[in-house]
Amino acid sequence: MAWTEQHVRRLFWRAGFGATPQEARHYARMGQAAALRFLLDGDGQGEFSDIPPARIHGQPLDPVNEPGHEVLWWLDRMVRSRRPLVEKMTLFWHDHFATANQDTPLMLAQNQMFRERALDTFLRLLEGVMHDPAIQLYLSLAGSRKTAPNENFARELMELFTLGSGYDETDVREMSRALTGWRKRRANGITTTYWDPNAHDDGVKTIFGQTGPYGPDDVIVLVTQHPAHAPFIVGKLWSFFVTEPLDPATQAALVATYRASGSSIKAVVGQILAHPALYARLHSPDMIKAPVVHVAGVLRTTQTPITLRRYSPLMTAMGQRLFRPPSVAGWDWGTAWLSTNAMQARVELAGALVSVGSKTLRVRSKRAAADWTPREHVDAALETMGRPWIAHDTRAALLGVARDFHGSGPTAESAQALQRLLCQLVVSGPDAVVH
Amino acid sequence: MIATALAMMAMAPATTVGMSAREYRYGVYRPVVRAGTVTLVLHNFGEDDHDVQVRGPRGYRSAVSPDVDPDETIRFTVHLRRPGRYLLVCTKPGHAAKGMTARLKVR
Repeated sequence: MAWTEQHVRRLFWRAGFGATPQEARHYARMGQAAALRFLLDGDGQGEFSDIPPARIHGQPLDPVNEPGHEVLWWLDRMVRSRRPLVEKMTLFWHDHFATANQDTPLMLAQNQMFRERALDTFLRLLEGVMHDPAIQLYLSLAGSRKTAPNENFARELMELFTLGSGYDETDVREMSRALTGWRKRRANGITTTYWDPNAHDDGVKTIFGQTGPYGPDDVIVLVTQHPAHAPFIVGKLWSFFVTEPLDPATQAALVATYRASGSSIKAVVGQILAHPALYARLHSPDMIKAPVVHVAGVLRTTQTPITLRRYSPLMTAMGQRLFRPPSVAGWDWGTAWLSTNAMQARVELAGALVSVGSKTLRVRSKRAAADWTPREHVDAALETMGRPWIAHDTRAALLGVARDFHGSGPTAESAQALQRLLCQLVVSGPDAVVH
Repeated sequence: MIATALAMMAMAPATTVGMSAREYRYGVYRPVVRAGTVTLVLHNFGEDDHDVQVRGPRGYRSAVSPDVDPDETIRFTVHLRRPGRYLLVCTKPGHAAKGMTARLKVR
């Protein structure tokens, strides 16, 4: 497979939040193996890029106490992190183990747990989830005691988190007994959870036909050893990165890797990112960007620091409010992001970015001269926006806008206005919706 | 001197305290603050309306905040000049008795 800047852009969008023109050039030259190494292991050059950290009204963020700042805090990481795949996988796990309506300190702690274990083994990740107060409170695992086991967590653990199918109501009941023992308590102003052995049912349970005095740690092993688990989890990971259907041979190969590596997420994701199907249709991308991927991507590829609070409500208007997924099943991805409201919010985002959000963009648009040709105008706008993919039809439409402007006797001021308009159209146009 | 102190207090940025409300408990994300202007930012995760009043040393009583509707957030600023232990109380009938109070320490 030839390896070009287009391949790098596809890989960096799917595995992160887009590539800057410099990254695209660099990793096109270095090759696919180097690009994958960077994404999977980092380059050892620190945690963040040179983009300045987020500041709102000149002040650093207060993600714990200021509503909306927790969203900007995570968005800021997506924009600046030198481990974009880790942030993308943190987003994947945030959706997979969807948790909402819990106190901000607990949600931020859960987010950090996802980040630290994003590419670890699934066993370690699930262990973190099982001990996480936010999800324990959300799914009523906290307060589930031997005298009254709550089935909610056990049911979602099998249905949504690990298996999808292959269990019955007896398994749900028995697993609920095995998961009893966490209770609520107040600590540092908020309600959190702790393990109380006296609330745990230490009797014998039968789960998936196996019998023993099972507890939470045993449940993690039982669900991950279930024959339905590996196909379930590799299938979900595949569809997060690739729009092509997962064929049986590839599924078998991913399952084999998952099992042989002791449930290594990094091993499976690495194999998916190297698969030719990820690079299909480079000239007609068909994966719809989630709102946060769109916003983080625009900021990252244009090297724009976060200075606007409104990114947070704009993402909500686009249908994605981080830390508040709509249900335990997470968000509906794909075409669900293409509502009329979402498209309007994308236009507003482009306007905000062009008018006040990006200093780089304002400075660059001021270079525009009255004697630029329509083609020079379009090329300059695309360069400013980080050279995103655009379809031939879109390019023709942008050239049409620039030609109309030319016909009206341009001045330096109007040339700059045209640059801003073209940038705005590139960000809010239909091509920016896909990657 | 008093005028200078008042001017400095006016200039000092308010400390923000994130809070949650649900039936029938508060979460307080910054349980210890410095004396001065404090802005309580209260989000309602519950199903009922809630509010907050701050009660403190020497019979201090703040005004009662506006109601915060379910899934809404309000900002409510109080001036807590004396160090000591304060109590955050929901004044809706029966809510405090069911546990809807929380502590805030002012240093």
